[in-house]
Amino acid sequence: MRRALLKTSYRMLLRRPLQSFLMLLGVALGVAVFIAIDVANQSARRSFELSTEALIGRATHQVRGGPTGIAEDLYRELRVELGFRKSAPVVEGLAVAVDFEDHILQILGIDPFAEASFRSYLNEVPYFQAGFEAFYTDPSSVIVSEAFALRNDLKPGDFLRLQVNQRFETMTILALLAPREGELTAALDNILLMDIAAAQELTGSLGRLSRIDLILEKDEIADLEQHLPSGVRLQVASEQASAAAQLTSAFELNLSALSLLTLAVGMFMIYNSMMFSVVQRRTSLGILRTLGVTPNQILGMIMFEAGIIGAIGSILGIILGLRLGQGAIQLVSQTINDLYYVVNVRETAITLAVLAKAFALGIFGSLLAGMIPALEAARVEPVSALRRSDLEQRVRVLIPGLSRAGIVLFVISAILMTVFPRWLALNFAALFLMILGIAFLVPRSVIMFMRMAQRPMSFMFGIHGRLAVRAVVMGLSRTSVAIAAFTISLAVTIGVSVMISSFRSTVGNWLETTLQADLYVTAPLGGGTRLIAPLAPEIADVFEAIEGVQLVETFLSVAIASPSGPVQLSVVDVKRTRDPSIFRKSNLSPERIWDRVLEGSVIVTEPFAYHFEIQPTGDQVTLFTDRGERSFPVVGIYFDYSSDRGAILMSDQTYRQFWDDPSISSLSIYIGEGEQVEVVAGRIRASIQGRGLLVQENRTIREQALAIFDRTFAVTNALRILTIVIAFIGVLSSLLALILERGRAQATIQALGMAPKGLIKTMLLESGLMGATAGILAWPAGILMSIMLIYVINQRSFGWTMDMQLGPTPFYQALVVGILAAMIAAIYPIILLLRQSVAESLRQE
Amino acid sequence: MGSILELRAMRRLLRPAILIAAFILLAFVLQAKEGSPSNLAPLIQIKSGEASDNFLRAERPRNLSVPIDNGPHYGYQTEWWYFTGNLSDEKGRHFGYQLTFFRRALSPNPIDRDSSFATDQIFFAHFAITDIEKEKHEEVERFSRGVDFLAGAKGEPFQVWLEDWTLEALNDEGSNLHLRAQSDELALDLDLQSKKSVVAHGERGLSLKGSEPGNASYYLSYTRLETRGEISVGGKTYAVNGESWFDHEWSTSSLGEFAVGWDWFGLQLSDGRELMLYIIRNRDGSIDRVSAGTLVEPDGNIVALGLGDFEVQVLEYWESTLTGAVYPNAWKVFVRDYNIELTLTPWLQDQEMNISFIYWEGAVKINGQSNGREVFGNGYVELTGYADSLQSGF
Repeated sequence: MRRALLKTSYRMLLRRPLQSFLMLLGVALGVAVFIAIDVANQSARRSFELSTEALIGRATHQVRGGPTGIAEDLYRELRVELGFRKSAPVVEGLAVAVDFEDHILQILGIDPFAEASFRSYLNEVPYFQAGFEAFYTDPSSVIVSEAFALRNDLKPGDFLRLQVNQRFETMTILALLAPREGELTAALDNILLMDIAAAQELTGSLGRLSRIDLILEKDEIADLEQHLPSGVRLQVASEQASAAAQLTSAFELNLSALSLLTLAVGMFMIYNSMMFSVVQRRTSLGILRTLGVTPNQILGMIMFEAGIIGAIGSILGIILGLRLGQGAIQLVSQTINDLYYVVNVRETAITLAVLAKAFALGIFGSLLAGMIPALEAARVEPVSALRRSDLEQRVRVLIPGLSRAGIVLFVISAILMTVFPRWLALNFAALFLMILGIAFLVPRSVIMFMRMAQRPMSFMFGIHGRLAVRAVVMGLSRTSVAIAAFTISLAVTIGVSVMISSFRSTVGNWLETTLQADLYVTAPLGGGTRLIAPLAPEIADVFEAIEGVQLVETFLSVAIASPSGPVQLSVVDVKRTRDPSIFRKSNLSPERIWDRVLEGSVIVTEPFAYHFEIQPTGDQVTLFTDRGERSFPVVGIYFDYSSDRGAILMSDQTYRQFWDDPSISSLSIYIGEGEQVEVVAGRIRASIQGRGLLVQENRTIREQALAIFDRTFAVTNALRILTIVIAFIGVLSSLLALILERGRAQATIQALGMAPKGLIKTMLLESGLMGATAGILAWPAGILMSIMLIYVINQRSFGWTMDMQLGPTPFYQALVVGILAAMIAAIYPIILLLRQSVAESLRQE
Repeated sequence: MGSILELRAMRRLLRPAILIAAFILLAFVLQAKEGSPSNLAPLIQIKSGEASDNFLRAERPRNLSVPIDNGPHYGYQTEWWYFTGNLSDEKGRHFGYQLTFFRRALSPNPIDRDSSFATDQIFFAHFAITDIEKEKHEEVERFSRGVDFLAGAKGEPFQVWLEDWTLEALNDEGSNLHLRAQSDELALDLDLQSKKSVVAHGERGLSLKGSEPGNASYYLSYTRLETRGEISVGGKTYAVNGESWFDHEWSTSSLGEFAVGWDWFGLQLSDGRELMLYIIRNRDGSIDRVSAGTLVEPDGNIVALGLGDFEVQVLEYWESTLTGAVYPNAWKVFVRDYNIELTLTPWLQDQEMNISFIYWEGAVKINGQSNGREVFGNGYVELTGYADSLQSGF
């Protein structure tokens, strides 16, 4: 019996290939987007972890210092005097391969004699073979990865031009590093392996080490810590990687949530199609019941169908998603590079877990969507198969309940957001509940909307207009689901657009108030998340002497260790007062704030204050300085959109007092009254020729910042478009269902004399009306979503405040897209309908 | 001041050459051990190296003088300070030890560098203790770049160090030395006082290795140093005394084409004589004609011995279970012109140095006759080329 039922299901799915295909497509696209994003996130994270792990090697601990590292003498003390022989000095830095699209290479300076216990892959280099003396004796010797060499057509003996800090150096490739373990290939891709002495010379860090790697037994830890000078810390090596990986978690969660949304829209489609197939099969289901099939068996049968669709759709989705993943990796890793850390994704991290998760989601989503249709099917009475109008009747009865449920969902959503402001995942759950709530309100809204549309439609399109309105209402059980799915995807579009444009304009304004100087001088590395190459502090004096320069301010951005992990420190030599509007929160007047900052207090960025729950009233931040652990009072919170990690701002004076680091990372130059920016910029460029410094105008920096901003939202945009695509397929499939189902009615109307032209018109109008309904319903829903995104999701993910900017564009766009997409979706069903001859349709009667 | 050796057996002294070549490989092989499998070379493409022929060469006899010539000779590519000795505690428990510092220059033309890690010298050291009673031989090695704060050598005051393994002179003449080394398992802290003046082997310390000028090394020895101090092995520390032998050699030379290894003997006899012999073994099984030796009389007079002046018979062999190498393990030594006939037996069969470069270096017991009298004594024997093939590296 059961087998017979399952056969019925199969046949059902096969007999309506188009319907089945569209359902599959819905699941597949949803799963594909989810998996693409997941794979991109995981790949970026995995690459980062791998390269971090690769660099850490087997070290259990690391000795680290402030921004300038640690004195090399400490290494001698630890190794020779205290006998910590499982120790290896490391000098790190960044270099730009100027001949290869400014590719960034990571300098890894090691002492091969101390390495043996640490990084096994480095031991594959024959440091002690004849011919390898140059590794030690020739400071221009470098080893690059085989992958890098292959890409750039380099071989041992070739020259490699580098820019490091402000210098250009020509290095010689001594050998290629080809790690035996495959997964290291990606991790070591950008490595520039050098002897430690050469690395010190190249990076200009004479006498300093970036860190000392150690393999320590438990009982050695305390002993070692005791011998560390102040400002030098012992860290558990693995913490380094995990701390960095956490940076991106909010970003990843946001992407994942958005990708789930596409799956949710796909679920609407499945629901719709399943419901249709149930209604279609009413008669045969009734017959099955008379044959003794129990309601539970019917339920199982429909769920089985949903499961099949889910399974096949998921598999297709996984295949598609892995393809999409390649593109997503590009977008995601670009953003991570822009905002978080340098990561070089060369391999796609496709784990069984990722696949299983996507597959399970696809099936679960399909089953969930198929549940109501299945329950509906199980209600079919033997013989007396209900008529469709009964169903519609019931839907009509259900509407008040649905609307109430929608309101309840809103309330739950609001409660979740209020009660768990810091539990990001729950806030996303709240967002989903709200979306579901919107969907529940759609049927009620459709009826209201149709009531309002009746007159104008009739007025504009006559009988066709009236018929179209009636058709929408009559098929409410179907149309409302399609409209709901469409509404949600359009609302997402509006919400995301409003959020992005609000964000963009906020950032634009902020750049305007922050970038007050006329010219900025940086080393070319100093962008995004890259380690900022330090400049020699004397250069400020050079610039001040240039004709037309009025004022030079120095700036340093540096990562500082703190008890709660590394934090970004902005060190400013404030000579000009800042726009008071940069302060978000403080008990003091802006002038007082600057005074206090000069006295040794700090101000923190908004994201920083959010993440560390800091109030500018008596709270302090603790940092590891070169003088040991020190706390600094926070006197204000300021707007800053440069990093979602947040930053602490302190005065130049305070910084130099607690850290032995004279370096600066950029200079802000104010030019004199009446001087021309281009002219002064020209003089400055002439004065620093050959140093590899960038002199940029205010405007250029602003444009670059916004370019990075736009890149950041490229993924979001891509996802938004995919959501619309899925919704479009949803509308197409529901129209198809409606039209096929209405075949007889249409035939009757046709037989009564309506010309095909009229039929087409009615159909297009009906479809357009649905699109318009969705487009307009999407307005309030979109505003609601943008509020959620701006004031809840973004704020709670990253800690940013932004001013909501409501422009008309996304709204009319949604309407136009809604109407057009719906009408386009109607084309194929209409063609299908016209092909059915009137006689044939009626004969079936 | 070193005495001068007669030109009598001016044969080529190949020992430095082979040692150099052998230890070249050593770190390389070490990497194999630490890393994983041993075939490393194919994984990496190296830029072809340039020959560095600009080192000084040992071309003519020089007036070598200690203490200054105890120190390093940076113009030459390779140098070592080699200590071996037989010690016993108050209960007569016997120990052997070896502590050797090697220096290897990477470039004949050092350039001025800014980094204090910059170097053109590599130092490495081998340290072993043989505990006869426990039948244990433990060995350990170290490497370092030659930068002052890690490893280096100085003439005045004479000292050589590799991290906390040190050799330093306690007096201006350099005849009183202090040795210190420790690892997880082994430690040694010894005071050495030379009983004889320094010996310059070959012609005033110049040991020729071939007919070509410059194919030679400078070779100095303190053949008998009274030794006292402490050693630690097997978790225990022993107060010991006994006698040591100190070789110091430097050269710039390459290994003979046909040589596969050498057997070296440093023997201290109870009648006050010392005997140094080495035998270069060729690939075809023959003994190279450059093999030679030096006899040091009780009064410090020295006699250079050519291949024809001595004979070494192998009595027994021993196969290493670890490496499968088969080493000679008991010998008869004859120096007939000087009435010497000795039987050498290792204090312990397994004194194999199983480190990056595998060789056998062990304490031996001596019995026999010298000048018609019964003598006994102790010594050290070094056997290379039985396990590892000699290959060129640094």
